[in-house]
Amino acid sequence: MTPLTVLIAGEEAAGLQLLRALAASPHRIAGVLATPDTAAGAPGGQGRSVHGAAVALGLPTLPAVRVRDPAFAAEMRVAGVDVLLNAHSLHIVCPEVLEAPRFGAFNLHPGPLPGYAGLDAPSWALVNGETTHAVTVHRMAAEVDAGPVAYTATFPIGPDDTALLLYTRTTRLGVPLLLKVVETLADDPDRLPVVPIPRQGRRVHRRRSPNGGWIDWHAPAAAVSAFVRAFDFGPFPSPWGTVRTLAGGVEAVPLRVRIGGRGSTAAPPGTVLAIAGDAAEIACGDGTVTVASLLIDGRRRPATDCLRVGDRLGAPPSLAIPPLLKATA
Amino acid sequence: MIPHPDLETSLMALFEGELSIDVPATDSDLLDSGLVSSVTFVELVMVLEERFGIQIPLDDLELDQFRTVRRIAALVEELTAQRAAA
Repeated sequence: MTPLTVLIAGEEAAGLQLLRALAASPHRIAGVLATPDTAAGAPGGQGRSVHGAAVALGLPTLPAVRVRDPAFAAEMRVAGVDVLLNAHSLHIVCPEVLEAPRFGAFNLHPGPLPGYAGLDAPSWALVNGETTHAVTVHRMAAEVDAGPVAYTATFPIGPDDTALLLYTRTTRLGVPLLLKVVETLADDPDRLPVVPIPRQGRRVHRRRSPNGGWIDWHAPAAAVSAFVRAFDFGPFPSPWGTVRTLAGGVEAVPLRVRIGGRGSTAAPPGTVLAIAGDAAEIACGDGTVTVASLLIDGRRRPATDCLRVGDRLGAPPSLAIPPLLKATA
Repeated sequence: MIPHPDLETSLMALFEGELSIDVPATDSDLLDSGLVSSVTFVELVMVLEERFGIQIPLDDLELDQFRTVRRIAALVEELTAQRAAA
């Protein structure tokens, strides 16, 4: 095994885990490209950032945006960088920087390719009703998320899984795959898998919430449930904002939406069919969902308090929701 | 299950040292207060798994189990006991 000289471009938990693992390994970290903390703390909230962790480890730090600068390639060559590892840093890396390291650059992508290129892959997978998801480590090319795959880990999506849980899983499974790339390159570079990504089926997703977050109650119950879970980051802010519906003319955020027990009903979609236990049962295009509570004006209220049988949930009349929730680029 | 006080102390140190989050007390609300964000939550899961040699069951996870250091200690203790019994 020949220790490598590694350059890290990282943010969030994936970047932190990668940095910590490599700092404890025999490999040399030439530098860390990351967003510095602001006066308010680490990017994305409190806690240690990748930048802060790199500083604490005594490693050289560079502005994350340097990966866009072709002139940076020459500096990387001088530093003898063997490989650039990208973990959740969202800057588009310029071709000169991608080609500067001896073994190129590798990216941790939180979704399967080619179907889930771009942003927010876990959320889009839920919206699209997928039953499995994956995390992919691939060599970076000039085209985003299009370079050949080295390693992939696939896992099932459970019926109650939220975007936060899928995101957590992709990080947990993905960081070891990036480390595996480093170990393979250090042992025998010829052993690293290079699996081209087919062009067919490529979809590049953007950070744009589908339907503006408005729930389409005409969709099947499974699709309504998945749509809500795609926005669900637990108690944390979702990159897509919140889901929305009108309840009695007031905008509300349904919380804890689960698939209900009934099949098709004659009631129009969005109708409150029953109040049972601690939840309200709502008619969908096919089947029902249960809603435990709603957020109205920033206050969480039990559905049993603010909904009545026969109420109708819906979207503003001016909003044309496409009949299918399929996500597109 | 009431977690061992030493475990709560270890977790408070972990928050301060590994996550750079100053938690006022073991019963401080980490979620509503914004002390833990979605990013630090993911980091927390991974650090707990590494530190205590446990596997946090994401398929069956209730975020309320992460609401306070005391509840996290109870979760860690439960998962550690399950691992020992396995």
